[in-house]
Amino acid sequence: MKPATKQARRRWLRDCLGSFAAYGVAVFGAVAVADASSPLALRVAAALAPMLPIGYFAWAMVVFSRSWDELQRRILLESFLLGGCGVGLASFGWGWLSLGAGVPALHAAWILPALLGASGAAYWLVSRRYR
Amino acid sequence: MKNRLKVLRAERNWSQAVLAERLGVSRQTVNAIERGKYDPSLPLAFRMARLFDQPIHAIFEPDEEAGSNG
Repeated sequence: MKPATKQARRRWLRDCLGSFAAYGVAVFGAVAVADASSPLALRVAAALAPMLPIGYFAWAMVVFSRSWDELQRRILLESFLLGGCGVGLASFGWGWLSLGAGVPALHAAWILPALLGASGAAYWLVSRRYR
Repeated sequence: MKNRLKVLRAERNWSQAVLAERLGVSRQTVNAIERGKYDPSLPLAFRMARLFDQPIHAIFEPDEEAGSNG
Protein backbone atom coordinates (compact mmCIF):
# COMPACT_ATOMS: atom_id res chain seq x y z
CA MET A 1 0.00 0.00 0.00
CA LYS A 2 3.04 2.26 0.05
CA PRO A 3 4.25 4.34 -2.89
CA ALA A 4 7.34 3.10 -4.62
CA THR A 5 10.29 3.65 -2.33
CA LYS A 6 13.72 4.71 -3.49
CA GLN A 7 14.93 1.20 -2.75
CA ALA A 8 12.19 -0.33 -4.92
CA ARG A 9 12.95 2.11 -7.73
CA ARG A 10 16.64 1.32 -7.55
CA ARG A 11 15.90 -2.39 -7.70
CA TRP A 12 13.53 -1.88 -10.64
CA LEU A 13 16.17 0.12 -12.55
CA ARG A 14 18.81 -2.50 -11.79
CA ASP A 15 16.50 -5.33 -12.87
CA CYS A 16 15.52 -3.51 -16.09
CA LEU A 17 19.09 -2.75 -17.10
CA GLY A 18 20.21 -6.25 -16.14
CA SER A 19 17.45 -8.02 -18.01
CA PHE A 20 17.85 -5.88 -21.15
CA ALA A 21 21.62 -6.43 -21.13
CA ALA A 22 21.07 -10.17 -20.69
CA TYR A 23 18.50 -10.09 -23.51
CA GLY A 24 21.03 -8.49 -25.85
CA VAL A 25 23.65 -11.08 -24.92
CA ALA A 26 21.11 -13.91 -25.38
CA VAL A 27 20.02 -12.69 -28.83
CA PHE A 28 23.54 -12.16 -30.15
CA GLY A 29 24.72 -15.34 -28.47
CA ALA A 30 21.89 -17.33 -30.04
CA VAL A 31 22.74 -15.98 -33.50
CA ALA A 32 26.42 -16.75 -32.98
CA VAL A 33 25.94 -20.25 -31.58
CA ALA A 34 23.18 -21.70 -33.72
CA ASP A 35 22.45 -21.65 -37.44
CA ALA A 36 20.24 -23.62 -39.83
CA SER A 37 22.66 -26.55 -39.82
CA SER A 38 22.78 -26.85 -36.03
CA PRO A 39 21.00 -29.74 -34.28
CA LEU A 40 17.34 -29.13 -33.55
CA ALA A 41 17.85 -29.14 -29.76
CA LEU A 42 20.50 -26.39 -30.03
CA ARG A 43 18.29 -24.31 -32.32
CA VAL A 44 15.36 -24.63 -29.92
CA ALA A 45 17.56 -23.69 -26.95
CA ALA A 46 19.05 -20.73 -28.82
CA ALA A 47 15.63 -19.54 -29.98
CA LEU A 48 14.20 -19.67 -26.47
CA ALA A 49 17.27 -18.26 -24.66
CA PRO A 50 16.03 -14.63 -24.90
CA MET A 51 12.88 -15.71 -23.04
CA LEU A 52 14.79 -16.07 -19.77
CA PRO A 53 15.78 -12.39 -19.37
CA ILE A 54 12.38 -11.26 -20.65
CA GLY A 55 10.69 -13.55 -18.14
CA TYR A 56 12.85 -12.00 -15.44
CA PHE A 57 11.88 -8.53 -16.67
CA ALA A 58 8.18 -9.47 -16.39
CA TRP A 59 8.74 -10.78 -12.86
CA ALA A 60 10.64 -7.59 -11.93
CA MET A 61 7.66 -5.59 -13.17
CA VAL A 62 5.33 -7.56 -10.87
CA VAL A 63 7.70 -7.07 -7.91
CA PHE A 64 7.97 -3.33 -8.60
CA SER A 65 4.19 -2.97 -8.88
CA ARG A 66 3.88 -4.40 -5.35
CA SER A 67 5.65 -1.33 -4.01
CA TRP A 68 2.97 0.89 -5.54
CA ASP A 69 -0.10 2.21 -3.78
CA GLU A 70 -3.70 1.32 -4.62
CA LEU A 71 -4.31 4.09 -7.17
CA GLN A 72 -1.05 3.43 -8.99
CA ARG A 73 -1.95 -0.27 -9.18
CA ARG A 74 -5.37 0.56 -10.51
CA ILE A 75 -3.83 2.75 -13.21
CA LEU A 76 -1.40 -0.05 -14.08
CA LEU A 77 -4.22 -2.59 -14.27
CA GLU A 78 -6.39 -0.39 -16.47
CA SER A 79 -3.39 0.34 -18.69
CA PHE A 80 -2.65 -3.33 -19.25
CA LEU A 81 -6.34 -3.99 -19.85
CA LEU A 82 -6.49 -1.28 -22.50
CA GLY A 83 -3.12 -2.24 -23.97
CA GLY A 84 -4.04 -5.94 -24.04
CA CYS A 85 -7.41 -5.28 -25.65
CA GLY A 86 -5.86 -2.92 -28.19
CA VAL A 87 -3.07 -5.29 -29.21
CA GLY A 88 -5.43 -8.29 -29.14
CA LEU A 89 -7.94 -6.59 -31.41
CA ALA A 90 -5.25 -5.25 -33.72
CA SER A 91 -3.55 -8.65 -34.10
CA PHE A 92 -6.94 -10.34 -34.53
CA GLY A 93 -7.85 -7.87 -37.26
CA TRP A 94 -4.43 -8.28 -38.85
CA GLY A 95 -4.93 -12.06 -38.83
CA TRP A 96 -8.17 -11.77 -40.73
CA LEU A 97 -6.57 -9.33 -43.16
CA SER A 98 -3.75 -11.77 -43.86
CA LEU A 99 -6.25 -14.58 -44.38
CA GLY A 100 -8.67 -12.62 -46.52
CA ALA A 101 -6.74 -9.82 -48.14
CA GLY A 102 -3.24 -11.20 -48.54
CA VAL A 103 -1.65 -8.82 -46.03
CA PRO A 104 1.71 -10.30 -44.89
CA ALA A 105 1.36 -12.41 -41.73
CA LEU A 106 2.35 -10.70 -38.49
CA HIS A 107 5.29 -12.28 -36.70
CA ALA A 108 4.24 -13.36 -33.20
CA ALA A 109 7.50 -11.99 -31.73
CA TRP A 110 6.10 -8.47 -32.19
CA ILE A 111 3.18 -9.07 -29.86
CA LEU A 112 5.05 -8.63 -26.56
CA PRO A 113 6.80 -5.38 -27.57
CA ALA A 114 3.49 -4.13 -28.97
CA LEU A 115 1.73 -5.03 -25.71
CA LEU A 116 4.33 -3.21 -23.62
CA GLY A 117 4.26 -0.18 -25.94
CA ALA A 118 0.45 -0.03 -26.03
CA SER A 119 0.21 -0.46 -22.25
CA GLY A 120 2.78 2.30 -21.76
CA ALA A 121 0.76 4.64 -23.98
CA ALA A 122 -2.42 3.62 -22.17
CA TYR A 123 -0.72 4.32 -18.82
CA TRP A 124 -0.17 7.90 -19.88
CA LEU A 125 -3.81 8.22 -20.94
CA VAL A 126 -5.27 6.52 -17.85
CA SER A 127 -3.07 8.61 -15.50
CA ARG A 128 -4.63 11.76 -16.93
CA ARG A 129 -8.06 10.64 -15.70
CA TYR A 130 -6.86 10.76 -12.10
CA ARG A 131 -5.11 14.15 -12.23
CA MET B 1 -17.91 10.49 -3.24
CA LYS B 2 -17.34 13.90 -1.65
CA ASN B 3 -14.71 14.32 1.02
CA ARG B 4 -13.25 16.91 3.39
CA LEU B 5 -9.67 15.79 3.00
CA LYS B 6 -8.42 19.09 1.61
CA VAL B 7 -10.03 21.05 4.46
CA LEU B 8 -8.69 18.70 7.12
CA ARG B 9 -5.23 18.84 5.56
CA ALA B 10 -5.32 22.63 5.37
CA GLU B 11 -6.37 22.87 9.02
CA ARG B 12 -3.18 21.07 9.94
CA ASN B 13 -1.11 23.06 7.46
CA TRP B 14 0.09 19.90 5.75
CA SER B 15 1.10 19.73 2.14
CA GLN B 16 -0.19 16.90 -0.06
CA ALA B 17 3.28 15.38 0.11
CA VAL B 18 3.23 15.37 3.92
CA LEU B 19 -0.22 13.80 4.03
CA ALA B 20 0.80 11.25 1.42
CA GLU B 21 3.83 10.27 3.47
CA ARG B 22 1.76 9.92 6.64
CA LEU B 23 -0.77 7.75 4.84
CA GLY B 24 1.84 5.70 3.01
CA VAL B 25 0.54 6.55 -0.46
CA SER B 26 1.77 8.69 -3.33
CA ARG B 27 1.05 12.41 -3.63
CA GLN B 28 -0.80 11.60 -6.86
CA THR B 29 -3.21 9.46 -4.85
CA VAL B 30 -3.86 12.18 -2.27
CA ASN B 31 -4.46 14.68 -5.08
CA ALA B 32 -6.85 12.33 -6.90
CA ILE B 33 -8.84 11.70 -3.70
CA GLU B 34 -9.06 15.40 -2.85
CA ARG B 35 -10.30 16.20 -6.34
CA GLY B 36 -12.90 13.45 -6.15
CA LYS B 37 -11.30 11.55 -9.04
CA TYR B 38 -10.63 8.46 -6.96
CA ASP B 39 -12.44 6.88 -4.04
CA PRO B 40 -10.00 5.26 -1.60
CA SER B 41 -10.25 1.68 -0.45
CA LEU B 42 -11.80 1.00 2.94
CA PRO B 43 -8.41 0.31 4.63
CA LEU B 44 -7.06 3.64 3.33
CA ALA B 45 -10.22 5.45 4.43
CA PHE B 46 -9.74 3.97 7.92
CA ARG B 47 -6.12 5.15 7.95
CA MET B 48 -7.31 8.66 7.09
CA ALA B 49 -9.94 8.54 9.82
CA ARG B 50 -7.32 7.45 12.34
CA LEU B 51 -4.85 10.08 11.18
CA PHE B 52 -7.37 12.92 11.44
CA ASP B 53 -9.00 11.44 14.53
CA GLN B 54 -12.43 11.63 12.93
CA PRO B 55 -15.04 9.02 12.08
CA ILE B 56 -15.08 8.01 8.41
CA HIS B 57 -18.50 9.56 7.84
CA ALA B 58 -17.11 12.91 8.99
CA ILE B 59 -14.53 12.78 6.19
CA PHE B 60 -16.45 11.09 3.39
CA GLU B 61 -19.95 11.70 2.23
CA PRO B 62 -21.61 9.68 -0.53
CA ASP B 63 -22.88 11.54 -3.58
CA GLU B 64 -26.63 11.95 -3.62
CA GLU B 65 -26.91 9.61 -6.62
CA ALA B 66 -24.85 6.94 -4.87
CA GLY B 67 -26.88 7.41 -1.69
CA SER B 68 -30.18 6.89 -3.47
CA ASN B 69 -28.85 3.67 -4.98
CA GLY B 70 -27.77 2.10 -1.84
